[in-house]
Amino acid sequence: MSAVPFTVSVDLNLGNRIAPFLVETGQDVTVRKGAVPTEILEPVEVSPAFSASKSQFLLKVPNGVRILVSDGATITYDGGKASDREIALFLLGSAWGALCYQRGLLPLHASAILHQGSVHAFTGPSGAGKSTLTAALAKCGRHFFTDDILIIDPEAPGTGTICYSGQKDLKLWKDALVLTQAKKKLAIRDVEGFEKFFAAPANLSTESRGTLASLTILKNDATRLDRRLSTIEKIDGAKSIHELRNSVYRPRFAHAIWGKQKLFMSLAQLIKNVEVHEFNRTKVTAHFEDSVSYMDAWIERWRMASANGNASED
Amino acid sequence: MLAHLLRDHDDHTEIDPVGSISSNRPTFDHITGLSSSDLTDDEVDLLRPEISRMIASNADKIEFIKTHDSYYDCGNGEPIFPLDCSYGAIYLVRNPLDIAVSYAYHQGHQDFAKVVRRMNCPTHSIAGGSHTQIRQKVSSWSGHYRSWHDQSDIPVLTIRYEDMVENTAGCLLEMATFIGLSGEGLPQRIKTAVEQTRFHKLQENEQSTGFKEKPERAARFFRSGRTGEGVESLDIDLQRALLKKHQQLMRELGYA
Repeated sequence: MSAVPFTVSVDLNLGNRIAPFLVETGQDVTVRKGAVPTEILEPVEVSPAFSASKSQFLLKVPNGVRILVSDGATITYDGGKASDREIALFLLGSAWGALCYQRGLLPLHASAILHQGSVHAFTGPSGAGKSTLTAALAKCGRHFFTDDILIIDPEAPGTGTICYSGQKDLKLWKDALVLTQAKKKLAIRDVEGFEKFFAAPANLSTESRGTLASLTILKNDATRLDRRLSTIEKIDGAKSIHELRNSVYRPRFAHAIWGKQKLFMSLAQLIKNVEVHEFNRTKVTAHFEDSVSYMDAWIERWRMASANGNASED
Repeated sequence: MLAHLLRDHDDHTEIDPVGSISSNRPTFDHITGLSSSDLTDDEVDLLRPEISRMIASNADKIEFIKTHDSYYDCGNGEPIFPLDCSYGAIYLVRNPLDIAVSYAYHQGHQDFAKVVRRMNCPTHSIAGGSHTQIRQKVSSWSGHYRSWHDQSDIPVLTIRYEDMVENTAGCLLEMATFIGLSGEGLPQRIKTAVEQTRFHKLQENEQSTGFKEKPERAARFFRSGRTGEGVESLDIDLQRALLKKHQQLMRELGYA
């Protein structure tokens, strides 16, 4: 089985972020600079920044970058005055997610570590701390697998859920760099004072494919409700489907490109193979190390239980 | 109170969490298909009027949105809350001396001087950047008030917090009338809503089950609710600093 779900040829510098996908020739997807229309025909979903039909996706970023993704095979960008780095930020973000849907792949909004072939993914809305927790676990010795996007192949044969790394670089705010000691690279934006940076994790895995073992929803309700600082709870049934729907990367893209029914069926299939948990923890910086240790220990218990044929460890 | 009032009024009416607060980052990301944390705060503002329109166009009733924002230009000449989808604004105003105390506790500290500096700063904004909520341009205490009351696009109902404490049912009736509620059962519904949301009851609920909007650093969300704490807790220099900056508006509103 291939290490990546598709290959890409590009004409701009994308850094290390999708290195395993890049080829010189024979690519599945071509990324080129070119003319990008201001609208697409018969969009199913429209927002202030994108419009999407089943086969076309148009992204319009307020900084002037426009990207057209067509038929799962071509990405055309007009960067305006933006640098390659800024174009790549949006190309490998929202446009990358749309490309996955067009190619029948399910992108989850998740960061993940890899442990002995098993991928443990962390999801939650923007600001939930996915990247920071994953970077911190990498600092603890876990192998960093992906940031922000985890690509699921719903059609992959076999009993497990095959998943792929969507991004090999982290994006971290300045304070998270301090917490995780990830190696700071350039700022993600060419805007003075913008303090979010690309970063190299401490323990980067060269693997870009694995089997999804667990998906953990990051929550921050516990301390607001005056409960324990860290808890992990397995969730099932309708609640897990609901949480999984919230974990889908850009669900409006999925609705436009796949339709709601296909998305639901894919999530229902996913849930058969993957344990879903809620990790409720404080985000107060003083307790950060404790919450990372808590999760690290949980992964270790999961590994040992899995080896004994009983994966669930709440 | 409004949530309780509307729930009694119509079993099918719930305040949609999607529209819960104007600074909700997941809502922004969901609607735009972009990561707000990859955008500058000014770029986020440019998209906000369209987001309001989309929320309104998907709503089959009045959508309630809490906001800390002052009323300002989003960056392209359009107000941050567009006229064409804004029914009205219920503006809650409170004595700035009391706000200073409440604001500090809400942030989990008692550095009242720090809060007073913010309340006196015309360019004061909150959140944005790495924070869990998107940036809100709050302005100074009086700057915020003037921004909403100097515009004439969106109808504004102004309620003094102190009046709401004194005459809760009367103020709720004003709000209900403003949003178009009426009918024979309205007085009883108002009475019920007021009873269900008495401050001590909210405190008891928070004590027993917590409150999800409580900031992590704050000891509690429903802390005191009393009026007059500013005079009791702020030293005289801080009181003077607020009075000096906001004297005219404080007099207009009966706070000085």
